[in-house]
Amino acid sequence: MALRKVIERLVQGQCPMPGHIPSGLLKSLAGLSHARGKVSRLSPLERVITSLHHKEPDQVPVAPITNAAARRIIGVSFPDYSRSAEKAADVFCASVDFLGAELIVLLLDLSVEAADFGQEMIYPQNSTAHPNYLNPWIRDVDDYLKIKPIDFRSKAGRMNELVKLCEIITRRVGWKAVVSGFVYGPLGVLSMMRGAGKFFKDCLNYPNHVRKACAAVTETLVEFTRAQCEKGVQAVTIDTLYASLNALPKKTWEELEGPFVREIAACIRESGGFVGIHNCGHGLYFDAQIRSMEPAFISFAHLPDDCSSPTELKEKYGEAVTMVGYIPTPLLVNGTPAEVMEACARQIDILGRNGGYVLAPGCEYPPNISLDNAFAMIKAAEKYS
Amino acid sequence: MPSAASILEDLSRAVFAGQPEEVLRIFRTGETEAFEAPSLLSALTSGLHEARKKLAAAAATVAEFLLSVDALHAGVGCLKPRLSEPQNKPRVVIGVVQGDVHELGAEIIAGVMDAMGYSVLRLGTGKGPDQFIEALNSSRAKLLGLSSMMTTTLPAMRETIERCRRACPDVRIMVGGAALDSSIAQTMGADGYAASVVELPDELERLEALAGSGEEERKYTDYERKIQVIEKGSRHGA
Repeated sequence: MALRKVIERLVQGQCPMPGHIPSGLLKSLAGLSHARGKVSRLSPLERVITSLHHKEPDQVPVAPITNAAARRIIGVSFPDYSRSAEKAADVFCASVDFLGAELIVLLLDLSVEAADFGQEMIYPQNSTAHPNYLNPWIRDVDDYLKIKPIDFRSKAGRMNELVKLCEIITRRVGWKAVVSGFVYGPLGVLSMMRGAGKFFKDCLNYPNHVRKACAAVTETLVEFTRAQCEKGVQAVTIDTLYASLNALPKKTWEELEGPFVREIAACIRESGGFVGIHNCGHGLYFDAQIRSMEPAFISFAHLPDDCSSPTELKEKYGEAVTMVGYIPTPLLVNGTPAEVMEACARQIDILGRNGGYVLAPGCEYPPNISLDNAFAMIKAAEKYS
Repeated sequence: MPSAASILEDLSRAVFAGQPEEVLRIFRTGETEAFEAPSLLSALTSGLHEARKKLAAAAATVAEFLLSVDALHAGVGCLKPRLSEPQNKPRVVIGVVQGDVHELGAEIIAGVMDAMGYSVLRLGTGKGPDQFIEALNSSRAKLLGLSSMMTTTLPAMRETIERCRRACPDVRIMVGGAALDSSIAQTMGADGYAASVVELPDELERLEALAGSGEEERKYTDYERKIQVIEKGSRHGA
């Protein structure tokens, strides 16, 4: 069955789902790429797969996460990018073709799911789409109990647009890059419908209300995730911002969101995809997230709560998970390309050893700045790997 | 009958533990009536400072700290009728710049400044330069706190700093938020930057020392130099 799916996708000229390839074969392919990378250039896909198997490719793969920033390559407006799968696909393809992104994460904004649960949205002309926090869907704690799973096929306009984006991108990108879908974890979705400040306190004061809402939201998120995988993305990234010192205590996070993101992760694996995590919080909980989701990669912006240096991070988690990161956003905003390349060189040196590393910004590349520093990252991977 | 020291300790502990209901309960017992308002305020604020230290040591999360801020506010609310306007600290205007909807960071900073004895005027999110200038003029504040969590709103932050600087040249401007670091803050012409509530007290102390040092002339010259850097940057399409 899995082999048939692999053949079908190969016939269509598309990259198969990694989970449909026998793991021994995939590991051998990664080993072969590692060996071949010593004498010749690998394709972006080979680089990412080799790295995800903790072997050094010819050079560190790059995920510049220039999602909304790449709008400016082809002149797409923010609202069009946020609302039209076709326009967004043009933007993501530009980040592959023009910039050379090797791993792309189909993150549009963090309100895709909340909007479909009824949260009123604002689509600014020059900034990321966001909820209208003056009109939150969840006004008091009892509103958590009113949240129900939504009819994904007919009521999930924004989520279905993202699924359509997955379909277009996997077809257009083909073998040129690894494509990851994206889903905001249930706590993230609820915070978009409540406002972060009140939501944090609700998690501590009314955990049962929040847990019930998480269960309802997750039912839809699993459907959303499966739909993305069916369109052929090779991974889905789950955003678990609340698993960090920036938000909730570790134990609270594990109790509130842990079981639900485990369900989403299981759905990704069953569908043949790699599980990814994105968490740009300070002091994120690598250990708790690995326990819950067993991810193939974690994209991060700051060191985890139990590591005091990148060297310690690599020693502690380097064999368990591929690291995607973590060039700081302020450096991308204010640094020169030379400074960015210097930071990339340091990270490649420490985190890139023995594979298991993808060079990337800690969070989405700032949408309205020059793309010079994205090019600097690409150049650094070529020069310092 | 609890001892005087234990009532103050209980208040401090309730703030530290993030228990607003417990703070209110202590005030409702009437036992706090025996104390001068400044002693009670001091007990409340010491609880928040302990909570801040715990946050700084990565032994607490933002969610837990927010509950401590709430507990402090509960206590300050009870004390309000007995408190006079703080005399020794400047008034402060705090808000989030135009285009940005993230209130949490500014709210935490405002809570801690309340605890430090500042008289804080909260403007909320998405405020333009005119609203900041009006608030500074009407409140006669000497300190302005600006927050921006999104890189897309950095141009709004820059414009707000420039306009407020021109309209209210005596006001010190401090910035913070995930989109910034000290270098960006300096380039934009801000006087101060705090990455989080952890660094806030030291940075405020530095700003107050600066204000008392008679360096007004040099500050303006620095500002002009920073503006030149910004203009040069924008010519390069930054």
